[in-house]
Amino acid sequence: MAVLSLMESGSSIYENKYVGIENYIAVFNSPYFYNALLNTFIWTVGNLVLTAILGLVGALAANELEGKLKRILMVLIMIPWFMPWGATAMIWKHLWTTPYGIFGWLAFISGLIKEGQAILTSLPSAFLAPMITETWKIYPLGLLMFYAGLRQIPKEIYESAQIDGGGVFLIFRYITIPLLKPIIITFILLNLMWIMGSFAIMFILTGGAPAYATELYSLLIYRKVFLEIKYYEGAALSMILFVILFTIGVLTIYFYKKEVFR
Amino acid sequence: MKIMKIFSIIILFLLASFSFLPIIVSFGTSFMTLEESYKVPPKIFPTNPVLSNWIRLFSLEEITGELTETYEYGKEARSGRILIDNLFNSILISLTTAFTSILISIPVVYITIRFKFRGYSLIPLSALLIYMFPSIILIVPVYILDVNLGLIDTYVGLLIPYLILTVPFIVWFLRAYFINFPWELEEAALIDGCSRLRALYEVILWLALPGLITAWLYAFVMAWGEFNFALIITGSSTKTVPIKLLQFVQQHHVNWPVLMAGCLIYSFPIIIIFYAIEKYFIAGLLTGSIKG
Repeated sequence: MAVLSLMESGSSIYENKYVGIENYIAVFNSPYFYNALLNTFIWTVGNLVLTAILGLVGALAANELEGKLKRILMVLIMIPWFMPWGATAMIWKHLWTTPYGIFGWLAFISGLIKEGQAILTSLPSAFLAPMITETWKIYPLGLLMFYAGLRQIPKEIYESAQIDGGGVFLIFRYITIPLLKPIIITFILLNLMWIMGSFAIMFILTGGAPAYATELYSLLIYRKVFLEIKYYEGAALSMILFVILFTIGVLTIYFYKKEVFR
Repeated sequence: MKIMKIFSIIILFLLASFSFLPIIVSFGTSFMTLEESYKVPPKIFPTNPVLSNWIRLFSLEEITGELTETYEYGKEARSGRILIDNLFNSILISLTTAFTSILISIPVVYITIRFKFRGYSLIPLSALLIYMFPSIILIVPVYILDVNLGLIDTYVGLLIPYLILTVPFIVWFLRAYFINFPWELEEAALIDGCSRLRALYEVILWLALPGLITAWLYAFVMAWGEFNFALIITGSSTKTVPIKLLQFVQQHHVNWPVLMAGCLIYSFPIIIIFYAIEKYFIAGLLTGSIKG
């Protein structure tokens, strides 16, 4: 890939010639590149926050309960994580359709979406709707990881904190969060990679519409390679994404070595 | 404490309904007629459930009539069977991926555990690294590789990226499984006069069957659900299920009932298999991410 990104196709895809960093210059000069980077940044941060909050809240709730009811609810909660990406996107596309899908219709009658507009083609709902979809897909994993982490915290710590007079919030802030830190960091690291490279949901739901406003980095790669037939610019784009992800991964592991590799 | 319990039940209940609502809606829609799915306000369950959408997905007849608009995508033929060919494609490619990735992974895992050589620990570590990166990064190189080898729209062309995706995870998973394996059994077999290969195939693999089956199922599920590579590599003769369903979505007038039935057929095997292997899978994921 690194080699490919330095080439330019000749008359056909079978003939390559070396052009140096020309592809990178083309990428850095294109406004779509910065647009996609910004979109991916918002997308990643939004999804990480949403999944972490939902997962943490769910894990704390699951940790309070025992018995059959909890097991049934957990089975239902886990379903989205097992769903394939394509099916997730298509089912949610139906839900968001205005006004024939459930959520599309709800947004329509509540006045959030004006007459003649659709959720998936008007901003900011065209960005929020896929974000909710992506969160739906991946928050069960966070819930499960946090739950497994909570189960490992010994009960005696909580008991002694209660005897010392710690309130619910203080216990959460000074005991639960620090002890969960390794799991949280592992979760963020794993999820960051997947969210930044996430493709199917945005591709099927909006496809970058309206006017590239929701175009993620992965969609930009797809558009460059398969719609504009610029393979080598696509390779340069992939290489940049790889470097970004690799840097993030290495930095996280370096700074949180103790937490990740216990 | 009682308040906390009730509060927790409410939270879990809300999350469960959030998770399950889309499934319910798609299940209900899949039994509607086309007219009913385009009614405002939308209904979750049909008044007169019909089975025709599900039957249509499995029908062998070639459709040219009412569904013709569904096939106006790309250079696609305007007629054909709805989903049955694609189900066959998906099953074939998933089975092949599962068997091949197990065959490749077993020697890798065996060698990295039983023989110590310079850099042996790098192999599973690099496998984990590859697993962590999203597949979108590999799309361009895999596509160009397949074009140059003339493998676009073939099963082998799809098998290559699928192996890139499954083998790292299976190596990682099986290593965690084999590391606590009673290797004295192999030594006993060797002393009794087995060759190393025979000891591997007749003693170890039989004892490790549960782990192998789990890994096999994981590879199957991964290949069955994969979307990105299938989108770029498959053509008219090797389309897998999700790519066929994508054609339905890209219509102006989407046939939601048939599409939802297709999505459910596409998801069912994965959900069932995942619930069967959930325990091992999550254990593997957690040990993989924590022990390092």
